[in-house]
Amino acid sequence: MNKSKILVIDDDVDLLASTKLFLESKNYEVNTAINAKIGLSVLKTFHPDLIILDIMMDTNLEGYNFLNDLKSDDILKKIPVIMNTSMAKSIGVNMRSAIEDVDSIPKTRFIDKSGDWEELLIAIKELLQ
Amino acid sequence: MQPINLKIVRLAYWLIRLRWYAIIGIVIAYVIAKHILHFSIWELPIYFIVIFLIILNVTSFSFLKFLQKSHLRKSLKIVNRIINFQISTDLIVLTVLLHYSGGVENPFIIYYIFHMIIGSIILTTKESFIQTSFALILVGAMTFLEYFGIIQHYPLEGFIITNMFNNLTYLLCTGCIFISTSYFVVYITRTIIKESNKHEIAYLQANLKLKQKDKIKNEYVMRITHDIKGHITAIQSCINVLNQKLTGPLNPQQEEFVNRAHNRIIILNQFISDLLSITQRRLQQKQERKYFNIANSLEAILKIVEHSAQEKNISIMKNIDPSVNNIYGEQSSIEEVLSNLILNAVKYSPPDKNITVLATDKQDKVLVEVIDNGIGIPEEELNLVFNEFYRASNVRNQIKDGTGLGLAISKQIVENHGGSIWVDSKLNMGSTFSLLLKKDK
Repeated sequence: MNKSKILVIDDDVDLLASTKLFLESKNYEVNTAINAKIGLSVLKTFHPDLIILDIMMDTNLEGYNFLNDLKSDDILKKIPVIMNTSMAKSIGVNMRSAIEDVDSIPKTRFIDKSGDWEELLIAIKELLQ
Repeated sequence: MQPINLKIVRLAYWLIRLRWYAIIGIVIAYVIAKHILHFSIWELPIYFIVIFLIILNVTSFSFLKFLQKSHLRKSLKIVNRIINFQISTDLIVLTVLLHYSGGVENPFIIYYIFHMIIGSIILTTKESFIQTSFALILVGAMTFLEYFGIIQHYPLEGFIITNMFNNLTYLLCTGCIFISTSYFVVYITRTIIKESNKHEIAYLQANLKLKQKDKIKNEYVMRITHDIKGHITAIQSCINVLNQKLTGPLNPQQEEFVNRAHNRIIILNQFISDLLSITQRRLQQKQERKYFNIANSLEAILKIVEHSAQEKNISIMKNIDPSVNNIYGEQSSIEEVLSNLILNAVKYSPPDKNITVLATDKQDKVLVEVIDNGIGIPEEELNLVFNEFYRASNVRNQIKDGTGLGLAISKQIVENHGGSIWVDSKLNMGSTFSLLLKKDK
């Protein structure tokens, strides 16, 4: 069976390394990028089934800007995105439910960045259905 | 428009308002002079002047409104021209009015000073002196044209017996005093206004600086939060790699110590989250309060919490009164309280137990209750759970992670909104957390 492909974008190299190891152990094919720009160039040759995206990288809104770039591309906007952030509590429930709207494209979920991957795994399984 | 510029527009409207008072004043003065004191005054010019002033005011007012809506680039220059034009016109009108009601014999000649003061408040120093000189030229022309008989003098018969208008000594002496008073008044008024303007600018600049500093500080706090949590998350992630044996098996001792580190990191993560949340709230400006739909908030939160609940096979039942809708408050803060209560219910319930969330309409208030069948709270500690860093005695042993800040933060928010929060509980049976919030301010 074909492995599902995931692209992880995060400016923390340690988190990137450990997350990659974890996801590969769960039988996903994983590619990584340390910022949005590199992420976009990886997307030219790597076609993931899911993107895991950090929100605050070099700039406060780098993640959101990247999401908007995805939305404006016909092919890329179909890839579901998991917004990973340590600031999940500061992002009010409203913004969350607006972005996580069933009808929004790409399909997006917010998760709280934690070192434990349970929530991430659940989100991945849900979005890859 | 910058605040100083808005001021000019305000003053322009003020000038128009003053003119309405002047028009009323002219009418009253005329009625008293002619019909009560029985001076002889020729009405026709007075009527024309009053009508002219009314037209001038209405036109200026409409034009100002039009300019405000049109957002023209040069509108401020135009407003300035309008004001100057109006003041000059007022001076001409005053002169004509005086000419037809006694000239220099009319004590209302003192009203030139009013115009000079008002002008000095609204105009620049240069413009003030120009308008004042214009006023003096006008009154001088009227006086001397009447004196030389070039134009007719209209005495206020019944008011004064001696003719002053052709008394050269009187005219020259009074004239000099009048001229010096005028320029002196302008000078003093301008000085006062300039001082006041300096203070206003200094205040506005200080205010702006404060806002900028506040913004920088808030961004700083956010950055620190993000960075600290980033490090903690990375550490936790790397420990998990070992913990979950992704790099191979661990011997029992390795496993033991990796687990110790793992547990501590989890606690630290939660602690930092709560601590920074409480700090951020204290540092930040009051968030915007508005009416928002609390029923929608509850639905959204329940949707998010569903996953954690499902993991423990806990089902959440909800009963939200259809009449519960909008309440007034800081939306994100209230939502944080609701999240906290519901997440706590999930956390402190053993698997397979149910949770109920109720929202009831209580006339001018809304009551939210979160009922669980979890471990409960010892009776003597019911009040203490809302204290900062307090964790109930039965919890400390069973559920390691918890900082004791969640309820303290919630209580702070609820009390800031003038509401109340309390708990009823029975050990090992369950707890009901209740939240009463005002619907309006």
